Amino acid sequence: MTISPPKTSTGSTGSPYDIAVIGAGPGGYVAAIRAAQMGARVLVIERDELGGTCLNWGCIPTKVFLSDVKPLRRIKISSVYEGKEGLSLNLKKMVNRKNEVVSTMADGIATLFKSNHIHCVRGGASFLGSKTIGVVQDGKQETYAANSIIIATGSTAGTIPPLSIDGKKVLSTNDILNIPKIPRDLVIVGGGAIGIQFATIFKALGTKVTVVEMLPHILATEDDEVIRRLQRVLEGDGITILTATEVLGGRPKGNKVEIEFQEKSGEKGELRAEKVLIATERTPCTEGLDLEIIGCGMDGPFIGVNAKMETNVDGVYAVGDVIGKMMFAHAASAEGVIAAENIMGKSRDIDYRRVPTCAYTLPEIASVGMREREARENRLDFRVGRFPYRASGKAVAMGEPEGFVKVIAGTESGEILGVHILGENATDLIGECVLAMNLEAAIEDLAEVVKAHPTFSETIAEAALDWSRISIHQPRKKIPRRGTS
Amino acid sequence: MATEVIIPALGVVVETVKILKWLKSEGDRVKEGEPLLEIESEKVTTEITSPASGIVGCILYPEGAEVPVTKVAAVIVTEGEVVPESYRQQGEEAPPPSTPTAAPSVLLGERASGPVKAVPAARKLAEKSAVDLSLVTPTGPHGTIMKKDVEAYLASAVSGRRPQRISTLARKEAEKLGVSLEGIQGTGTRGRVMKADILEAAGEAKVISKREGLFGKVIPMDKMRQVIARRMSESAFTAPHIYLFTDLNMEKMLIVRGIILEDFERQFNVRPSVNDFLIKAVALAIREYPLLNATVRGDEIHVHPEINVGLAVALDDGLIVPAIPRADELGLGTIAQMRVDLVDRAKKEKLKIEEVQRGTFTVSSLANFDITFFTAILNPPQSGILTVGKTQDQLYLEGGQVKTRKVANCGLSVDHRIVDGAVGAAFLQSLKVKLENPSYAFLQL
Repeated sequence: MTISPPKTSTGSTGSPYDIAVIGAGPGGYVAAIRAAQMGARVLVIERDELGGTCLNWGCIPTKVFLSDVKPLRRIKISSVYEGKEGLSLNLKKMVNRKNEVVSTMADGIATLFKSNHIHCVRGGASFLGSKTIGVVQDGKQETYAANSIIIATGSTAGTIPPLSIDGKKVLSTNDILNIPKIPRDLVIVGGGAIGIQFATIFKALGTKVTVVEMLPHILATEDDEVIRRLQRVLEGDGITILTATEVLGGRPKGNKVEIEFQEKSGEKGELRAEKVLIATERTPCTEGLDLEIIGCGMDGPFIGVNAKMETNVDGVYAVGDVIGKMMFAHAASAEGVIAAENIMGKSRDIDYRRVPTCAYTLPEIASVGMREREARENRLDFRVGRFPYRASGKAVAMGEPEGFVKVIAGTESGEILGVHILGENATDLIGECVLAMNLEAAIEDLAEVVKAHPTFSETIAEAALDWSRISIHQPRKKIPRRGTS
Repeated sequence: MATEVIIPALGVVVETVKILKWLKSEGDRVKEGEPLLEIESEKVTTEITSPASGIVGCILYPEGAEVPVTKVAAVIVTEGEVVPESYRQQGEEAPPPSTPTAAPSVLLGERASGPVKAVPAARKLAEKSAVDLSLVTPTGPHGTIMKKDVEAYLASAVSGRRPQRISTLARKEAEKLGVSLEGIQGTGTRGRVMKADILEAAGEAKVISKREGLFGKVIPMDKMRQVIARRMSESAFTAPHIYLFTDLNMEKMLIVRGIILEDFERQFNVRPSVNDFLIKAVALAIREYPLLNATVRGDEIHVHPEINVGLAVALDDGLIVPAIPRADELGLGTIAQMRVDLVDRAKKEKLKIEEVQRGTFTVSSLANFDITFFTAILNPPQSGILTVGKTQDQLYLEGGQVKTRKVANCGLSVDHRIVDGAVGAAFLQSLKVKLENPSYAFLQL
């Protein structure tokens, strides 16, 4: 059998593409659009679905579920609804709605590509050289040339060696989105943002949920105070959380899975659940890219980049989960924009201190900038301001009194070092804090904004006022305290 | 009776000085000889002391003002004495005495009804920003508008102008570091000045960004650059230069230096450098050739009474030549000490005017660079300048054997109006003998 030489496709005009983007997730498709806006001829290569993990198996599907379960949860705990005993969710319909939403949004990306004249090909990509990519689809390889390449291949659902994902009883985060029946009990391995998010959703669906986290805390990257409070809230909701606990193995037992774990103290134990969800740290997708051909430098399992998103290979950039800096869709998009603009002649650096984090738990958490612990470790002279949701008219009226806003700012400069929010709408509220930090507002600027009443946004201004010990809606404090307060 | 505080004539090239700081305010008591104000010229600063004891009756120029030398800057009065009206009118920007003027004793902050008084920097900024100076609240003496007043006006909401595009943190940082906002290019959205811009303007990063940002820009000369430009052209186009070069065998000098090094470090707390030997040898050679220590004035040659040897010191943004006075009379240790101190203060811009003005001959060394030899423009009104390049190994024959020796090339520029080639050559010859036989030369003291 003879192998015909791969055909080299260089686009309609015969010249190489300006930019080829590998991966159409929130890092890749945003980079492609930004580059096209700036006049680049762009090729996008996607082996799976447009929108990547975020749209298909992550952010968006889980938000669909969350928005469906939230009213149910509210009604269940409400004292005003009657006849709620018979109320239930149709999981099949929920999954269908999720699929509709996903497909609508994916169509949207296709439309955006079309309007920006972005050429999109389907297939797995691999480097043939630093300016050539082979794309394999249906056993055939096409070759594409591009002057610059952005790797935005993302990550796949995490795994752990002791438990192999079978898609039936031991599920990946992708599998669980298409689960046919609400499980009676669920063990979630991994207490990061993803694991805790699913814990919240399934708890609201009536499942008995246990979270097993290897680290001493869930959501380890958040502020201590937020973590402590959220853990209390989740436990109060009936979610069991085992921290500093390692999963040793698991085996099927009847229609359940038996999980063996070991606490830090060395004590072993067993858990039995209908389903196990593996929500451990996600794995970057670098396999099959043949990065070694171009000599691309790595940073552990991730692709190594600088603040301009440049790899060590001239003209090759990487963004999103595959670089493992902040594994959030919005971080990937921000990185994508920076990569595209740098390729198109700008000189921009990413500043992760101004990229927010978020977790869609109930209640939500969101943060930007430094945690209090970091500020203390850096020996900064800072002060903290707080405002509890319980003191917010809106939060109480909405039946969401759980949560608080915490602002950290330099004592002398008033520079906003970090903001941490736990509570309803936290992920939306963090936006104004990021804006304030981007514009280099001082903490007093954040306090002086007149907010519509009643809104959750008032809590930000009040926390900023509390920083100056002049919060209106909190009892007066005696002595302004420095440092930690 | 009233005693005038006069801005002294600081040397032939100084035309105006800048008042940096008044150390006393109007109404303060002052003793004779007590420092009264700080002035600056050509990057050297000096204090002017009070010529009499009494009370500071009036200050005629605000801080930041450029004042011609020999002008009265302030008046010291005795207790109860009133400052004569005539002085009030001398102040900067004051109209001629013949026209009726605003009451000279305008109170602080009060608006003058007559022509507006403002320091030049304030006028410049006002003109640039299209600010009506009569609307600006002055804070300087006698209702003089200072630059900061215009800045405050621009920043204030009452000006009705768009607020200055600067972030809160940047503004705070600028206040903290005392960085002027003028001329700072904002890197934020639509040119908004951000904290990093202020830090950059304040920090060392400035030098780098300055260099990168220079292409295609027009750079206004600062005071020092203006002085260098004017004096160098004056020298190049009035004094006909001749250049003479010779090789210096450095071997013996380096040996002597090696011998005295430890002792000097202990006794004088300095490491003697080749420059110290040069300064000393030049001073001794000048004793034999006084015309190398002279200045042309009209049809006369003025030979200076003292031999004060200057050493050119490169700064980040210019060059300055502090001089060691009566270097011919000083021991090498003292010269080394003075050299270290002068160079150090030159780099910190802390030289006194007389230390720069007193030079009668200049030594300029590029020995630290890979420069073999170079010519120099005379430092006016001096008649000689010596240049020294790097020391390098030179091959020579001795008894049919090839050997090496340390050699430096040294050049002399002289003003041909005073010094002819033969005189210059003889001077250089004498210098060469001294430097090549240092122990012998310095015994001749």
